[in-house]
Amino acid sequence: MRLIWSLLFLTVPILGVGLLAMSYLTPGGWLPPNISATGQEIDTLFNYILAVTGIIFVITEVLLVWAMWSSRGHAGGKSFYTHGNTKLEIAWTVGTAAILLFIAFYQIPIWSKAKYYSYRPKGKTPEVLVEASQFLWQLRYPAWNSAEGKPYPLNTLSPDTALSFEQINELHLPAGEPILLHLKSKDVLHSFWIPALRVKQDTVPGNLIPVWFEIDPRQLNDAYLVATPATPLKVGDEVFTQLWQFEWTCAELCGWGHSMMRARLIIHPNRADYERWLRASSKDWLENHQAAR
Amino acid sequence: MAEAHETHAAHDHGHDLPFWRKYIFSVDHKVIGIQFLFTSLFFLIIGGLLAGAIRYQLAYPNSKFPILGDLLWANNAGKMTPSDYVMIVTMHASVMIFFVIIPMLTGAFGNFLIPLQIGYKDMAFPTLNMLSYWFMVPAIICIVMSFLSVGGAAGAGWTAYPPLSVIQQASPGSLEGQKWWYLSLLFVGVSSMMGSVNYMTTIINCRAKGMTMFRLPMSTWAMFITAILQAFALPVLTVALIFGLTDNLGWTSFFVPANLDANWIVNSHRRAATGGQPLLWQHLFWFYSHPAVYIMILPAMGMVSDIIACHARKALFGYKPMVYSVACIAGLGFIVWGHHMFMSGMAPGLGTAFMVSTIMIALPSAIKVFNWIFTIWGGNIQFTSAMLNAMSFVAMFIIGGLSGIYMASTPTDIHFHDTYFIVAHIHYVLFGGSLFGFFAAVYHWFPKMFGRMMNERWGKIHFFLTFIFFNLAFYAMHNIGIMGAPRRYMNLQPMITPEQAEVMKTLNLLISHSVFALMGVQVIFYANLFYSLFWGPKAEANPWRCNTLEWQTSSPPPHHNFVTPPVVYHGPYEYGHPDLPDDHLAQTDPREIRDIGHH
Repeated sequence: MRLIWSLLFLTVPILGVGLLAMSYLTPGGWLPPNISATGQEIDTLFNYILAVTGIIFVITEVLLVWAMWSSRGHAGGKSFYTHGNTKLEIAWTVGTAAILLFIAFYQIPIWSKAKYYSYRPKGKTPEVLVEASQFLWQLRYPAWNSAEGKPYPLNTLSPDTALSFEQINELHLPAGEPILLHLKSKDVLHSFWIPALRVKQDTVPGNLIPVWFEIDPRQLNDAYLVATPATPLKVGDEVFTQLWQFEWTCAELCGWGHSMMRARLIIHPNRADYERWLRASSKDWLENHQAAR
Repeated sequence: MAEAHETHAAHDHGHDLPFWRKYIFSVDHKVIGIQFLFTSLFFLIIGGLLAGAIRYQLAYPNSKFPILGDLLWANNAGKMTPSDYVMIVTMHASVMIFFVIIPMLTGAFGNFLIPLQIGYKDMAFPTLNMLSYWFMVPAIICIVMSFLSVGGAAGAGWTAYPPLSVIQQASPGSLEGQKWWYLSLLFVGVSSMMGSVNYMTTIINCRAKGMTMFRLPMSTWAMFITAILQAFALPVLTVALIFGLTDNLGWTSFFVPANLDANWIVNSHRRAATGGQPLLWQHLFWFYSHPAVYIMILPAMGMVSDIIACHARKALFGYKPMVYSVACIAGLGFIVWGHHMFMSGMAPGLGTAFMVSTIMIALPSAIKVFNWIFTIWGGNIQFTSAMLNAMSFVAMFIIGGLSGIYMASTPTDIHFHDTYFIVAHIHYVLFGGSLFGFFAAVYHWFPKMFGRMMNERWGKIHFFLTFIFFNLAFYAMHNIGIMGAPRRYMNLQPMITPEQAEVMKTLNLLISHSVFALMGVQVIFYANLFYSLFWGPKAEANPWRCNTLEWQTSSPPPHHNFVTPPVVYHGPYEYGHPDLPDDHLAQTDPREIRDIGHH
């Protein structure tokens, strides 16, 4: 019986490591693709933590099995009589504390870059205002100012509907530069989650929350191309021949339609291409608006 | 049980009471413990069936629900509706946490064990103790009403984040179901508070002669510290629940900000006041609910420590470090709540502070794991069902503890927050930890509770199958969490890439079928328990040859536990002392031993 139980407990580290390794080797079975620079650092941290916890996991589980297997009693069927060992207690307390403190302090810079306000892209106006509501994402872009040849500034606190336009569930952004977005919610909590960017931030009604990131053009793989010269995207008179697409979604329970709150991220290769899209998309709307005025 | 009561000592007044005073409105802590036990066993079935419904939907999205589909969702072609899915998810967690884990650990075993282990006739306040159980009854009525009410059960998650939970139009379940949910939790809270005051008073004041604090068994230590946690954390939850309830009724707006888009949610602006903050609820809720996860694991840790020492026939390794670790977990447990809110919009600098405190809470947990392993090491293990479940607690808690580091680390939490990784983590702690600890405790203390033995062979078969299916069911949730599967989604297809969708499908089928098997296997446990209750072989006073006081009286104990008040001479873990002919020394045994066990 001792053998059966020891083997049963031994399956935990073996299958645990095995299943993770199998997942790692299966296409699509591991972390989602990453296209951001900060995301790269997060993934590296994940790998470090995986290595540290993996080693501790295997060592402690094997120790447990070894203790089970070897504990057969001493002379007269008695156990080894001890109430503990102070040196051993101090050793594993100090050792564990050192590992944990290292993990804790090692990661602070990565978190700061992702979230601390002092690391936000400076001198930038928000690219898009993301407004979440049950159960869709309204993405408000600045309209194109043809007189000055640039978009109108986007007022995210109280958007001027004359100077901005809206798209549903389709977030267009340029690659290769820091991007600042502002998040809002119209009703309940939602969470703005783009897995491929390692970006997640709840949207809170009553609060305006900034997020920032940079799409690394070198990470944009052909597998995610949605527009090519053969299958271009046409907006008005403009034709787009190189766009990448990633799915993103809501990560905070927001009601019955929570699992339907999915959206797409469309990436333009550079700002010029993105602004061409911005111009084309706001053109019809602007003309109508000016005609009405 | 009736026969056992006839053998009571002559001065015992228990048999004078009418049936309804003895078994229903009883003030006897043992009966109250057993009442909590059966209540939580009943709700374990409910919670389990809800889990089965969730897993069926995830394995076979968009297909007709078996058996009940036509009955429940006739106008949706027998398929589960999206609003019912979030209600089922909400109620699975609420039932399992507030009606299963907390009552089965602190309610059932806290009540049953504390007076017996400290050598006293009952709790300090027996009537208050009875009320603590009877306050569960309105809680049960309210949670059942939540299922039956207009709009369906509460559907805002067990965390009930506002505004979803307090704006009635935000979800069908927020109409009536959510109000019943708030009321139900208020009653559970009052019940727990009564228990906690009683536990603290009893342990501080009612210990037998010679029972110093550092001679208390770990079970009682853990219950003591859990009671302190409850006493300090519960008032905050109570306040939050009352705020939530009045917000839901439209009287107040603690959690509802001004300027909600009135067109979006009809009537949301019709409130007595505006200008609340949704994050306030999260702070108040987690200030209770993070300590609550320790309320759900510390008693199991304590009981597992006692069970491992007894069945390994070995003194607990590092008794004092174990006590200090529990105290340290409880202390740190009050300053880590913000780790649930890293992505909530809370100040990121505060996130860093909560990250450091959260990572450091792994330290006392690790110390406990090492001490358990070294308690087993060098022992003379008896492979009983109780011991196997207790060792499994340790093995699973290692996984649950280590996987917590991924969420405690703020940068990796950006990816893992609200994915299946956290679902895997919480189930490794609450099922792998608390529930295996509960199984161990039932196998171990059943003879003392009911005077009969449970069947060991079926106990081991139950353990073997539960262990396998539990791991198959929950380990793969880590994998789909890494892949980015969001929690509380009724359909995990499609994912970012087609390959991901394929892997996800396979793993979801594996998880769901393992959960179905895991549920089926629990029939063995229930059958064993109920069969043994009536037909199990009679138990001796001390079938496992334990040292602690509850085993030094008859099984089951008489009405006032001990025929003569016990006197304590030793700590609870004197197993295998080389000078003694036997391998254990009861705490009441007056023989002196050499103090040679400290290295």
